[in-house]
Amino acid sequence: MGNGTLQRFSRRRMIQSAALAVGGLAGASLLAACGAPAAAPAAKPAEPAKPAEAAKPAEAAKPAAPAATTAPAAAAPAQPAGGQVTLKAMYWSSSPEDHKLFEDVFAAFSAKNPGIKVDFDDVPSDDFQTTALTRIVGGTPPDVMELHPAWVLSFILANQLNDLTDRAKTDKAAYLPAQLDFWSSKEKLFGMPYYSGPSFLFYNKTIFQKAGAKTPEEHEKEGTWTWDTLIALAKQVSGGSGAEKTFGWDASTNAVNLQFYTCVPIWDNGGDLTNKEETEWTLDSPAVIETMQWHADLQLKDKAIPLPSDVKDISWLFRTGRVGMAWAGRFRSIELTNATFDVGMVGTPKGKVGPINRDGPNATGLPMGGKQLDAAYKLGTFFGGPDAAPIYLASGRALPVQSALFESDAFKKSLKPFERSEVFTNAAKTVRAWRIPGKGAEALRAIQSEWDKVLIGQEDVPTAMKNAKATMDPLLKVR
Amino acid sequence: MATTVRTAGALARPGRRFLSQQTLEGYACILPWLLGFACFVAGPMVAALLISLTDWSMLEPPIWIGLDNYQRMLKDPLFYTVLVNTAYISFLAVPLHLIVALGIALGLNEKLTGVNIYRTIFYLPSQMPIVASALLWLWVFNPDFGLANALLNVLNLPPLRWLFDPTLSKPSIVLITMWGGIGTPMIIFLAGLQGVPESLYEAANIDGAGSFARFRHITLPMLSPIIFFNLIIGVIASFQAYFTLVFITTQGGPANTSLIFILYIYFKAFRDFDMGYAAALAWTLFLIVLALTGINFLLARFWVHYEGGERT
Repeated sequence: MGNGTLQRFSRRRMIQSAALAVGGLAGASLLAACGAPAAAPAAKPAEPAKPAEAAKPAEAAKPAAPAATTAPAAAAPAQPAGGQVTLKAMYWSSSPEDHKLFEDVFAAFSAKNPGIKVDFDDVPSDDFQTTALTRIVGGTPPDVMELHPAWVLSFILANQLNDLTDRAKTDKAAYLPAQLDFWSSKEKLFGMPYYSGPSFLFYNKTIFQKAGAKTPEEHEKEGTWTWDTLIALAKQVSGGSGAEKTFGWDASTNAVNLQFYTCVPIWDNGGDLTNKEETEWTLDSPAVIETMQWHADLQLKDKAIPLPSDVKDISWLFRTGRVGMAWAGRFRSIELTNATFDVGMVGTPKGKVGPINRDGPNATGLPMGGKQLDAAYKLGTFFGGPDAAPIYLASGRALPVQSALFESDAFKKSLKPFERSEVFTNAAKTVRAWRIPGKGAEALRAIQSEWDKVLIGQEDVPTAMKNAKATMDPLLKVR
Repeated sequence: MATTVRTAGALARPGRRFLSQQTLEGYACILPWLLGFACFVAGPMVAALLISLTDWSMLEPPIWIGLDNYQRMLKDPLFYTVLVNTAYISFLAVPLHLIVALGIALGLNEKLTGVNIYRTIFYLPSQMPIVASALLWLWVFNPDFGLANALLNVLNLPPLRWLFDPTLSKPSIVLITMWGGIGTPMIIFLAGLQGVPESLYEAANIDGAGSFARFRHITLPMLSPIIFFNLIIGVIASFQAYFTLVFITTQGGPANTSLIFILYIYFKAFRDFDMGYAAALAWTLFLIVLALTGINFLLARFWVHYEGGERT
């Protein structure tokens, strides 16, 4: 029976069917990946509406807004009157030691607040924003979550974080003002700071000694520590070739790391990256172009700044001993405890103005829809406060977010031999809170693409900045 | 006997019963797969289609915008960049993979001492995790102290910037794909070669056919269904499977010269949280792959030979 059918199916059909099946499934899985967080679309509003209004089913015939995205708008359930409270806490750690630090802080919090347990979910930093979004949209937000200035604005603007202004009315006086600014919008506060890492410079004393150059610290003492001095020193201490090549200045990542590096020399040069209203990028302004030009010159002409290929898959080039000066935050100190060269430390140079510094801080936020708001807020304030300092600050990874803690034993005892307390204090005092406005990730990719063309000689700096601005300006408009 | 006749009669009249017991049993057997397909593939596909008709950042409720995302795609210069990049890599990598894999398979089909060891050696790279091999190749292509430039140096040739050079980034990626991409098609070719009847070659030998003639008139036609299978799989994979490699090595740079379709979808979805546009891109890619597969099936009738001598 069916002999003919079997024969027809055997070779040709088998191969065709297999190809079709694999192809179909491969394509389908691709689509499935994009459609996995299934949600029915909301009705298109007649005119641009506030985010919350868009969720309203304007017409019965059109599909309703997804429950997931409207869930956070619902009022948080009432706090249990008594008994055990378990906080779902979502943070990221950068190493096993860092992970333990979080656990120790949470254990100390539970010891001080009997009845509140912390369920620590250590989500990798690369996936953090996506995971947080997925959980919030999926209706299972954590009670507390780590915030980062690179993306906090989008969460705030989408009303996904609880307003902490009233709760923090009395607490906020203890914090450094800039640390609160990072988590504020329209005079409302959405996060309680716990980590601060304003920038300063490490320098390799051994390299300076070999080059016979005056060190940045000596310049600082003489009052000549400026960006111009840094450029001159970077050229002076660069040299060699191949794997032995020494770079005078490692800006840690690259010139288009606008939020965490380039903003500083631009601010210190009297410029700014956007206009005051943040409706337009000012990348074509003389101050920005001048800054980017010296950066390009150091990188291309003087070979004093590493190219992307020089730092690819090297977590921190300075650690290898091949860099004269490096842009850094305190978290890097840990990596230098066993350095094979003498480490020095100096503050951000002055420019036409400044120094004005940046920071890459973290705070604890309370996502909408999270439960246990009171207990969550307690954890938020505990983390950056004096009770956690003997654990968190003592680890030597961060700077205090509260002014008084700069004088604490925990902080002072944490200083390593090459760390200078006054550099830290000045760095923290000069922080300007700035977050990339609009669609930040897309904007950074746009300027990166133009900067790549500068590095390969396809474009000059003014053209690259002009082109980047043209692409980035529309990205400032968000609905 | 009478029973048998009645049953046969019933089977001959398909409209009489809605579903026979045999059919129901068949469906019951595939039900777990069907459920999985409906929940985890078909459902999300439909969801992706709906999402592609919205403006959705995940943080805020989606807004229905109809075909705006598809119109936006036509005005997006990066869309054309990724299309060209993906086509370049695909149309260069797939034929290269097939030719090299077939060449190696032909060599490994010979009766050599220790041939199984050679087969294992050639197949091993395809089993290496992509992340590990990508990192390995990053070092090989390092402009300062990479193995590739060391080789050029030995040959008195100037060093190249490989993945960091806009003109070389795509060819470099294709070179890397050769490392892990030829093992599987090679094994399939090898299986196909061993299925070619020896009698055909013997007959050709008697007729005085040379080695090239035997390859041209026996091996290739007999292997054509296998080549076709590898071609289809290769084209699909080239549009989808190089994500990890490009993500690790270049992140789409320099200057977007290696930004491929699938990476662009990822950036839009999970960096920019522009879910609607990402879903529209995903559906467009699906349709492109579907169209290419369809074209391949149409063209197959001109060159794919199946047993029995007829073409498809």
